[in-house]
Amino acid sequence: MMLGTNMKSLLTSRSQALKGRGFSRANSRHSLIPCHPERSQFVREANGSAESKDPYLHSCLMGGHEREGHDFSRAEKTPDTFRASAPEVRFWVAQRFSAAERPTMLRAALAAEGGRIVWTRALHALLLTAAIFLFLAATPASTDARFKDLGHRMMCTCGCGQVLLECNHVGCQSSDKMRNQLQAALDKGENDDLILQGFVQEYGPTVIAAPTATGFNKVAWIMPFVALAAGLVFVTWVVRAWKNRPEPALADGITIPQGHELDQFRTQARKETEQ
Amino acid sequence: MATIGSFALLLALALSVYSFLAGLLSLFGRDAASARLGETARRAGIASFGAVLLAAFVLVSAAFADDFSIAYIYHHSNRDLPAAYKFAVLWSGQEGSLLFWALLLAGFGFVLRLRYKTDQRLFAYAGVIISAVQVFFLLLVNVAAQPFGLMQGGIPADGTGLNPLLQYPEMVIHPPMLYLGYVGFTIPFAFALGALIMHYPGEKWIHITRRWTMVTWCFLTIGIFLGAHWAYAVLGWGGYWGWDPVENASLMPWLTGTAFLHSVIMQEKRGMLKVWNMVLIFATFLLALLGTFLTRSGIISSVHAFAQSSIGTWFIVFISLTIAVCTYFLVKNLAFLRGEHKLESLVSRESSFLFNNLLLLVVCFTVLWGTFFPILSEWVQGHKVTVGPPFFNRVAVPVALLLMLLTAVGPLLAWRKTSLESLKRNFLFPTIGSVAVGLLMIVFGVKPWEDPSYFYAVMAAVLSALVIFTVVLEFLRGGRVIAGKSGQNLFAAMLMLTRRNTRRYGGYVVHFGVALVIIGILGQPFNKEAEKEMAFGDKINLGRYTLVCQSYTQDDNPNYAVESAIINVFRNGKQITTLYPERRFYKSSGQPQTMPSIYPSFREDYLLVNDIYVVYEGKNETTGRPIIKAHLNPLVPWIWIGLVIMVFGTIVALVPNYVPVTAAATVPVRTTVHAGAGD
Repeated sequence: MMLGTNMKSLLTSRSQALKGRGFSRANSRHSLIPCHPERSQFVREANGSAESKDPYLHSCLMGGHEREGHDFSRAEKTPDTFRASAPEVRFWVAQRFSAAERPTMLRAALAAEGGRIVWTRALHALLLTAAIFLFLAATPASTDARFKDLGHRMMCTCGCGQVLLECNHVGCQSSDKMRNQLQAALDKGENDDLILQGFVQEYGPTVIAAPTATGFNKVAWIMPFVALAAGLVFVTWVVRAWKNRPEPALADGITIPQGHELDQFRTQARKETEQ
Repeated sequence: MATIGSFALLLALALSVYSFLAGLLSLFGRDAASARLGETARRAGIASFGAVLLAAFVLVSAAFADDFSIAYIYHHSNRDLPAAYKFAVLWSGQEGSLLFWALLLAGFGFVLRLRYKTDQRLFAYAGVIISAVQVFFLLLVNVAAQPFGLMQGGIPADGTGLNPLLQYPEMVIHPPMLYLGYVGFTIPFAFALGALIMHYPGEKWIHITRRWTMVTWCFLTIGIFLGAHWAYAVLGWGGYWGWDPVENASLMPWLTGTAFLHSVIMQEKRGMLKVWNMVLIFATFLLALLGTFLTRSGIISSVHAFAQSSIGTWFIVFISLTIAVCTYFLVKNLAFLRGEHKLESLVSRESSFLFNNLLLLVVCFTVLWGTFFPILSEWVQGHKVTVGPPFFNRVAVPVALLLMLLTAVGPLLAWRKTSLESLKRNFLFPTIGSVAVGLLMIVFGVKPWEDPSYFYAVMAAVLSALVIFTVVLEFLRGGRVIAGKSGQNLFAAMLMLTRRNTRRYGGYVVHFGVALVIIGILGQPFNKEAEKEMAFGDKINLGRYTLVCQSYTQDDNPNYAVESAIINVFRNGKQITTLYPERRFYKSSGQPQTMPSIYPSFREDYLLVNDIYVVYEGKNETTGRPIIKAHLNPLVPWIWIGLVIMVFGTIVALVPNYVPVTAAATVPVRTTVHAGAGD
């Protein structure tokens, strides 16, 4: 490979070389660094190389596959790719280029892979953040919060048609009794499902303020989203169908401007009609 | 009196039947005899309004005259009822409400029949359809729900009085507004069906009914919000929307009506969605009928239980008949409605309208589905289930947020195709601003990850801000162009901009109002409440506010006895107001009713206003002390301000566009006549 070859041509030539070996997706939406066969080779080489003394690089290259007993012989038959990290790019460049070439090639390679690395790391950070939030959300709520939550998931049975904690009838026989029952059940340490079941047994299924996610009641929850999904599919289909309709035939000599020229006319029309 | 009223209703029915039959017959011929028959039908329709008006006048007069020989007056009035509520007796009960429906419809028909010269043929078709609807409602009040039915036995000395829940100023105007909305949709419906049957060319029926539809939509909006405010200010539970079946019933035609108002623009501008617009206006009218049916039949338990009766079968038959007629003509004339559908890009005003319609319809379907699911469950499972606020909040709110996104984005997309540059120009600053609003909320302690309701609140704030910023930016941009050309100041230029395209900029003002309403709603997860039995000087701490019981007292008037508390409200040790929550005991009906006292803290909290909402829940009979429940409801006043702005925007959109008059200047032209040049 010639010194000064830009990464695009480098990638192209590499991908052609790989295609010849049955790796057709090597350069497109995947990685600069090829798939498992070469990776396994890099790992083996890394064990004896100067870079492998770098504990981070070493652990990166050794990480996962070998520790988990990855079957490289099987991987060699699998036309797939993996995404490269910065040390892997550095290692790949170091393996292929002379010391004089390395800085240029490394910069180009890192630039090519850099965006992907940033996005991958951002994705990891996002997932981690989401996991933390989910963990926080999953922490057990206080009794007061549970009282409020459960009290809003049940209806008052006095006939007022209001949520249990929102029934404001002073001396309402139903809501006062139900609130006391709810508090007692919480004090006993019963879980939410058990408490709700107890209320259903005593007051009937209408005491629950929304359909449960069981049996036929699931239909209540599913249908609106089915309607939304069906509507979206339908509207998208309609839009595509209308978009693909042929333009009406124009009289000879009339042409409709396209692209930038059309945008200019539109801007002009917008300005003039806004006045 | 009852005899006059009954006779007037019978006469109105006879005139309406004649108007329908004669009008229908006249449509089949085009000769002079048919034209004369059509004219008699039109005049019969006009006369029917006079007859219904007389009947309504008699009923109200009977209420003022305390004529308890009429059963309706006995059940809905009493001698000590204040005059305003006696007037409201007309729509306080079942029979009166149906008479009121018939009156409004006859009134709309009256106006329509007077303006028939706009397009005689189309108006004749519409007149027949309106007469058919009139016949149905007049049949109801003549046969199934007679407002002039007499008391059996002797005449009682006093009536049982109006339901205490209805004795509130807004109750005098909430039902008429709602009915104006429901009934008003009959007019665009009649024109749409008429245009479909007669293969009326072009979009003229839309132009004729555009203002009817907008006014109707506006009335329905006002009716819904007044109902919400009544629930807030009278029911005393601290909320304004409980997803009650009757509330849902009013929301459904509003949603389809809103979709219709948007999608007709597509038909006017691009000749698209002709079938869809027909379906939408048919659905809106049917849902308005369904709303009346739900309110009046009582098939689904509701807080509006005072309106229940057994006229459901009549409505089911009429709704089914209407669906059959609409479907028949729609299928028969489908070819006539072929549109000129061609889209250039997914990112265009056209596709935003399509998705806007889809989301409005999905919310409408969700509300319909949730409202009727208890009945479906009873059929399938053998027992009813409750479909209450948790269901609607969880399902409808996410879709409504998507709708808000489209409200922000849609109006600024260009027709046919929007370029990337235009997207950047229109949305860069609004997006940055709205994201900043979301971040500010998080910085000030709202943690969207802690609770889904907080997440929705942040999303709603971000999207409302996006709507507001895009609307403001659009006004500024247009205003600057005019200011640059005319030399006016920016405010005058924006005013001129609005006057030149009232529909467009009125629509933006409505969107602005909607965003304010959403801001008012998003405060709900942050509500605080406390309840306490209060002796003199006892305190309730609620956020930054301290409520101190100064005193409690009793009073009496002919209509009701009242217990009330005097509560001083302090903020940072300084008294800001005094509230007087009441509990009334209506003498004639023997029913109690709370009357909360509300203070919006604009002067203290500025834009982040709170409602301090205090309810006198009752008295501990042992100690004689009042039990006070206090709510701190953030941002709620914005809902009512949003409504005012929505109504203002609709009024703006109704005003005809200002067209600058340009007169050609006459310049004398000097001509030289050369002698001998001519022949």
